[in-house]
Amino acid sequence: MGLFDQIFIEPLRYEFMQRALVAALLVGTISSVVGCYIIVRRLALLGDAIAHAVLPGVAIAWLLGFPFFWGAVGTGVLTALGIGLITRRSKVKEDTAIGVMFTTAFALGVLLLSTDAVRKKAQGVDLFHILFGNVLGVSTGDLITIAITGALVLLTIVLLYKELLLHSFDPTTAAAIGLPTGFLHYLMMLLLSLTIVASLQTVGVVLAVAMLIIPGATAFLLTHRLPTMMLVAAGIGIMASLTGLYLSFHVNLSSGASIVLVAGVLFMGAFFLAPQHGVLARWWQRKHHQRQTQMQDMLRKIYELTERGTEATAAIVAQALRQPLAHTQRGLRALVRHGWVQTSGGPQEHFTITPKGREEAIKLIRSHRLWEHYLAEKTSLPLESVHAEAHRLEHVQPAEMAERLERQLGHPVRDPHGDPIPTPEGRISVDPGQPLDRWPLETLAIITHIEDEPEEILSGLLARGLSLGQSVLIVERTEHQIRLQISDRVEVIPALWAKAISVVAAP
Amino acid sequence: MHAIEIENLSVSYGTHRVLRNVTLKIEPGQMVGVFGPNGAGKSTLLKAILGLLPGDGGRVRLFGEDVHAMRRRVAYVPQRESVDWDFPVLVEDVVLMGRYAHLGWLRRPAHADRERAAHALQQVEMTPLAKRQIGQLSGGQQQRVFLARALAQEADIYMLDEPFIGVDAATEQKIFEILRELRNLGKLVLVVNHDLSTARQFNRLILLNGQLVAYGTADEVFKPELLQRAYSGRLTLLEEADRWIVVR
Repeated sequence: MGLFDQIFIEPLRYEFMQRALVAALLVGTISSVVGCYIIVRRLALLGDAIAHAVLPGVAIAWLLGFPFFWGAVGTGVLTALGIGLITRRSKVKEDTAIGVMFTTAFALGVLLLSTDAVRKKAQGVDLFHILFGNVLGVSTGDLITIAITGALVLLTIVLLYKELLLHSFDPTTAAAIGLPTGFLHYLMMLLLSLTIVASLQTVGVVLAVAMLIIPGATAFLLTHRLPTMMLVAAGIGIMASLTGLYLSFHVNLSSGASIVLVAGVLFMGAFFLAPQHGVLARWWQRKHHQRQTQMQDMLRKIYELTERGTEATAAIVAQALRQPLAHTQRGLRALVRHGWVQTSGGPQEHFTITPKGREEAIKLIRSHRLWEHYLAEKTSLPLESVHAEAHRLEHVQPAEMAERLERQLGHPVRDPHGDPIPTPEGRISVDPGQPLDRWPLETLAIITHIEDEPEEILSGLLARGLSLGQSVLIVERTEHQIRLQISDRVEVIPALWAKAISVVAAP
Repeated sequence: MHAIEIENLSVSYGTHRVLRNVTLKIEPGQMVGVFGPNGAGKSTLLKAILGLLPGDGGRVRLFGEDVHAMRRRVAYVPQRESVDWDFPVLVEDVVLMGRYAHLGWLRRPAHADRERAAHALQQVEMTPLAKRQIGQLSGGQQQRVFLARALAQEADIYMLDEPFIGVDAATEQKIFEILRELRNLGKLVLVVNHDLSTARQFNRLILLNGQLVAYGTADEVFKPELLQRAYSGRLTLLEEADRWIVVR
């Protein structure tokens, strides 16, 4: 006999195990589906309360000699009504009302079950089994009750899907179009009570709420639609029930606790590993984005250095980006692996940009400058801040965004600082001009570009009325400062600042 | 016939009386702004018209009939914060809910209902986001979805509770544009709003402060003494050429 048979088939030779399996499957499905409504309506606490409140019902049923099922449903629904009544008719809030009602009902149940009269009638069923379940003791009669209850509950949920959905999502609007919201609420309470009573045998009073909430909560992390959430929850409920049941059989553990623990582990799994919203996925996305941003910044710097004819060594790149050398070296290796950059190797190692890397760098620059243009023109962001903001956006936005921006902006050729915006093919078609500090005296010039970094120089120049398209005339130049004629006034700027300005001859 | 006829309506929460003796008749084919300070009973007025709150007295008639007979002809857009946006439901599902008013118990939305919902989504320019979970939308987009749901209902009276809170300028414009279209089709549009700067967009204003302070056109309602009564001195009005400046 194989291991599979030993683990999964062998236990089924016992009749009690067959019944337990069917019961676990049924309960796993029903609880999980009903639980989805409990989660989206934030009624988890109420579910817990009803589960505890079925206890006195069980005791009373035994005492009076009718099926415990009806006693349990009775006190469950009564508790839900009581909580509703207290919440509406006093200033006590719902959570407090729940706390009062369910502990009182639970205490009453424990009290009744500890009396001799009840114990005699209970015929050996002990309190422990009601509290924590005893799925291995399910009778065929129990099974039939669970199946009928489950069918009723699921049928109601399917038939009233539309009404329950609107009522759960937006109760005010549900009432506005005339749905009987009070009826729907108490119907939900009835379904909840039925489900809990059906699950008593498998997981017991204390853990019943776990089978309602945990599979649904797990599915909530993984899905975007209620019907899908219900299907996934049912799958998780079934998986937990089966695994827990076999575990309890082979290792001789409490069946209810095993089932709930497996469900709990599945939830933790989804919490950490969910593909979009899981903790790990988010962490990885953040990391990935950070790494990508750093690599792109580095690529761009190498491109700029190469354009200026500077040899890009690791030390120079590190200094230009103001980041640690070791960090830069790691980044450069990644760029080489990407095929964006080539290394010369050897002791004087320097890096050159490959055609593929150049294309990528130009794409980035294009995106950056288009964003700057957009931010300067269409938002009220001050010109000094657009560089930093565009720097953030260029890494976030997909490539086609650049085309859309360009269209919307009417195909600008320069960014707000006067830097040329490359075409999608990477061509730069504008005369870059000359730095102002080398421009001849008394010759009218037009500003075509102002460096956007450092920010202090940019804002200083802007404050003195120097902007793109402005015509200027150098009146006097000393080692430290330059006197400029701007329209009808004269401004003095530090000589260093003039390096940040490019000009062409006025037409 | 009046679209809404309110006679001597009073509403209380517990012992606190929120609305006192409101009497008001509103014709169809208008865009009415409901203004007033916090706690003036603006949202309460909408809910009372919808028959969601038991009135202490007085009555509300819609097109001459009891509210309960008129439910499917009234579309309501609740405050955005009144629903849980993490709810597992897609944009298109929410819009389809607008059709529920016309569907009996146990009836599933038919193909025609889905088409109307899709059309409503198109009107608010949200078709590309139809398959998104609603929590993934911005505030403005969420408000558009709610408006689309109301449009899908094809009602005669549209009531919106604070639709411009947390909404971008483009969406605000779009909403006004759609509401104006509805008005031009002869529908009645009732909008609760607290931002007086939008008052000019409406052709009738209701000024509330626990009771009805004024009902009329902007020129009739925006009188210093009326605003004084509604806002009890918490705001002053400066008139300037063709506009007002409200100072808080």
